[in-house]
Amino acid sequence: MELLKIKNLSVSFKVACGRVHAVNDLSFSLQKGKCLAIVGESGSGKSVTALSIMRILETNASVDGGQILFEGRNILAVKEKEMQSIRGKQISMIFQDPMTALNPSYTVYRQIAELYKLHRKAAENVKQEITELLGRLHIPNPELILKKYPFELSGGMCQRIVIAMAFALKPDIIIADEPTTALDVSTQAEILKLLKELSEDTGSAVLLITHDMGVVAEMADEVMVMYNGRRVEKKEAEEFFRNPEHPYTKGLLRARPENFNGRFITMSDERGEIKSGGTKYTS
Amino acid sequence: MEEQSTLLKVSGLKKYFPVKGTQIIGGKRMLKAVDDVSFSVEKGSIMGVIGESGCGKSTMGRTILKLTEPSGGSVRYKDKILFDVEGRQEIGKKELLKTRKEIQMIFQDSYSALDPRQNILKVLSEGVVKHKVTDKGSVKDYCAHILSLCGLEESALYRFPHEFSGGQRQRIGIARALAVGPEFIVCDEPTVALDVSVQSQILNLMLDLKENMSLTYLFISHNIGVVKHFCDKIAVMYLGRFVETGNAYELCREPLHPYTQALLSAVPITNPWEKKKRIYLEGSIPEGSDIPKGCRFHTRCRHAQERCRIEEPGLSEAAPGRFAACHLY
Repeated sequence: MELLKIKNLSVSFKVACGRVHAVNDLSFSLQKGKCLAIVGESGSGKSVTALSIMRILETNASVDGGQILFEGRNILAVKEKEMQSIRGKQISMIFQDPMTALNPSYTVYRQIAELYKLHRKAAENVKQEITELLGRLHIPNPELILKKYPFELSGGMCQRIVIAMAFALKPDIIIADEPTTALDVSTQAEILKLLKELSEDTGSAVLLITHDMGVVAEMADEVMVMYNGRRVEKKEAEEFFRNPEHPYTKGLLRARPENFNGRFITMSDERGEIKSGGTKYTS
Repeated sequence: MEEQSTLLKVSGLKKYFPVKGTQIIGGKRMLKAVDDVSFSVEKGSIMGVIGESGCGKSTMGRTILKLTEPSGGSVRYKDKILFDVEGRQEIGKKELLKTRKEIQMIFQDSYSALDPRQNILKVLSEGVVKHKVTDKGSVKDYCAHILSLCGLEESALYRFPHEFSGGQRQRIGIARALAVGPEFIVCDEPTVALDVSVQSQILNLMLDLKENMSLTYLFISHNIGVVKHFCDKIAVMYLGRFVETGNAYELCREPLHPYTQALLSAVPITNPWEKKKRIYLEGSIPEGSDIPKGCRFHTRCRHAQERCRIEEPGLSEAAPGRFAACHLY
């Protein structure tokens, strides 16, 4: 079942020398309970796509066209007030850098409790619910952690808190924007396992944004490749790794360090020069 | 013969930081960031150091270069002793500056490593002029030449760091290190913030330069996929100490130390149909100011026995050319 459908989305940014077209005529859909990975190099428009869905783009950005249909409703057209009730409750987000995603002057408890306060009027049992939630994330000593401030915790622990917040209200969609880029391999493995477990538990669909093919291989049911703000290829994960079609996709897969043969393989080795996935300017 | 080919020899290197807020009377508590590390790097080889963040690998790199004051141990570069804390020997200031010409560093974050107010010519020429690498009239041409070696055009000389992409800035960082004609370069996670393809370009550049200019690298990283191919030898660091060293391929193919095994098992699979058995370590890394007695890994080790809680294992040869600090071997 199609949970989220993006139709011909275009987003651009106003800058000093004109407009930067970050997303161009992008269409795709996300199935209920599935994990869709969006891959591409930095600047290919992955994050802007995510921010557009959440409607938290910067003020110099504008959506030039297209629709984002969530449960049949175009969320680009709903009022901000209504969007607030969707954000965090039905669609939530995990950010790349856990340290900056949390408010440094709030304790972990206050940070998470805010969510409940905003989306549910009744404040009873919130503490108990939060403690249980942290327990589900295999956080030892949840009571102690709740009293701490983000800077007192390690990066991996902060990312767990961010994930706990994202899953707290059992949303339909979780958007994870490079959730493990800032973490070590061993912490990454734990966080990915956790993401998998929780999404299976709650039945949430995951939109996973990453440039790490290893993370894609671990997590994704489907993969979409973006280049220059456009969709290059979208496939079932296994098919994607077995039979990549587009030369850019082939290049991305070949550029992984394990294909070392005396030298590491770069994108330009694949059928001449491929320009790195930057964005286009117009004036 | 063997003596000749050893470029850098580190013995018993220690770097402790006092923990803030602990009592001065009765001794300050110390955070042992680097705790008794010994190794040597052969000329023309690449030595990799891997470990999780906070294990002390970056501090080790900086201490070797005397960018921070060592707390113990000695470092010998060629026939020069950079410092020997126990032997109360230290290289003179002038001599140290001269040695800096031969030992350079490439930093992790290329943005904060370059002065935003200096154009690239200024960035590159500072060391060149200081060390009189070339005569005054040809400094500009020399810098342009170094830039071209690193895959950048001459026009880059008059631009500023913020005008470049992350990959280009890292090339500038490499160019700056190369400009003074070093023999040994400490690389602290040079590709951590880059896309895979750009990472490949930077690493290839480093390999080309190494071959053409017979350089030696100490490569600090947590990217095991890269280290496996890029380095000749690898050392695995845990809580400030090496727990395993050995040939890069062999170490990655068959890790000996339980910590290395867990670390390697956490590397993501390459294809969705691959099956991989994960070893999840229990608990979190102990604080560097509170290192467990006995084997420092025993609190998280699957094989921990009574002996591990009491006696700390040293690095011992577990297989030809392979060293592990574990009682299992």
